[in-house]
Amino acid sequence: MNNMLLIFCAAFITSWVLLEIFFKISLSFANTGEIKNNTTFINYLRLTSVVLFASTFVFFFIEGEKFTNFIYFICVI
Amino acid sequence: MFFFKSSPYYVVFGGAVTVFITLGLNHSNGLFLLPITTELNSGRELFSLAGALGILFSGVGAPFFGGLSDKYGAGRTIFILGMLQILSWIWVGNINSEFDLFGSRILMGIGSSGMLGIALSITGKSINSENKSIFLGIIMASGSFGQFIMVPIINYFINNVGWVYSTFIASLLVTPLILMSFIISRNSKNFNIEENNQTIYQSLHEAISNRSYKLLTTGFFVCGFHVTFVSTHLPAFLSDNNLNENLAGFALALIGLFNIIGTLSFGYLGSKLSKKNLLSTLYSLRSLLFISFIIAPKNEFTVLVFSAVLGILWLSTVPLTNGIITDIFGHKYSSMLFGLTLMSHHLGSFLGSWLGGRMFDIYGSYNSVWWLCVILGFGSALVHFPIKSQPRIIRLKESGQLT
Repeated sequence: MNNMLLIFCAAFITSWVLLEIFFKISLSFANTGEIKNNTTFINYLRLTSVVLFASTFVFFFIEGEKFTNFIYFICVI
Repeated sequence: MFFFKSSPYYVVFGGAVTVFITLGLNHSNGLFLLPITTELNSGRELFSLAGALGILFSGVGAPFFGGLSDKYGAGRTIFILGMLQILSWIWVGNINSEFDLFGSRILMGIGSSGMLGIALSITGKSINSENKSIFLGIIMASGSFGQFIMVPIINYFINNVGWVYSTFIASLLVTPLILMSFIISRNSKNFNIEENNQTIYQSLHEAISNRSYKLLTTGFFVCGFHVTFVSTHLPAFLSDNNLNENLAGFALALIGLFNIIGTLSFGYLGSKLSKKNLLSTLYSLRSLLFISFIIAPKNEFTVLVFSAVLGILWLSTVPLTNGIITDIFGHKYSSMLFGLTLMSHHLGSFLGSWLGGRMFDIYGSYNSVWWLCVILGFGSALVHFPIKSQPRIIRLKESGQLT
């Protein structure tokens, strides 16, 4: 399982790098000159991805009973 | 009071919650396969056929409910569709025969038909901003997030309170749609007022005879084929390649995660670049990704990278396709016209699911379907190139019908 989690992290980082390269190449065709807006957007995107990645990682890390208890806890709230 | 002040952002919120619930619960349907087939003592084919019919009815209903939303308002239509979804979940909980299974799945299909198109169109109508494409991306991302969240929640309930009570809980989870219908009704205003005196039939006739619309609809068929083939057959494909049994869960999670990031990214890019060029690039990238996956050795790392990159390209087509439709025809009947395009997507979904299994039975492997995905992807990229997203008013002026 630990090996799978490592591969999961590696795949996430590889794909994120590919997305960022694609995103920057695409924006170079835009000719809008809104570099500040683009940087702000990509920073928000990075933040969202990290939060989503962390939550998915936790999902796989605390498997089975621990996870169902976690969901139960949220439902009780 | 500030909270009760009318704002278009409440429409975005209402649309996002609507899509979150509808797509999230639709994605949970597969979890009921084993308990329902055991209850009815029937094969899996029956459940699959009922599900496929549900998808078809969802596609057929999309332009009808889209038209209803354009004519009588999105809030009222979401209210009706929400009630149909609640009834369908209650019916699923009372299944006693094959008739109940087919009836409930068809009703669920009708209840979810057009929801996505309506939410996207009402957002497009209400937001008067050049960043509209980003808001469409947010709506789509909330649907992906719904799939990401709802499945483990429903799975938890099935394991702890049984599948029958889980369907009643699912019907309760649909109830916020009723509240969202009121929020949308109260806050939706058309900020994008355009000169359009067309009737709904004239608009439909214009769209059907428009070359760009036909090309867009044809291209969207491929999106449905790719997405449903991969989501239905990827777990079995991984198992055939003797890969780790947990891998399918990781792969689907990465698709869902990167789908959220992808729809937001393409939504943003759609506000800066030509949408049809982005769609051509997106379908070409999908084909290149499929070729890489066919050639590459199948191990945990390649499968997960494939899933993550496919996630980026997964439903990013939706805000771009919807954006082109509103660019060409305006907002007045955009729900109905997007619904018609969605019908082609659902037809692709039906074929992707069915043909994947059929080809496997004939050839004993999925290779032929992967190559079909490659060909269809490049075909769709080519189909999007000639699209002209010229607004209706400019077209009328050029043809001399408007001075």
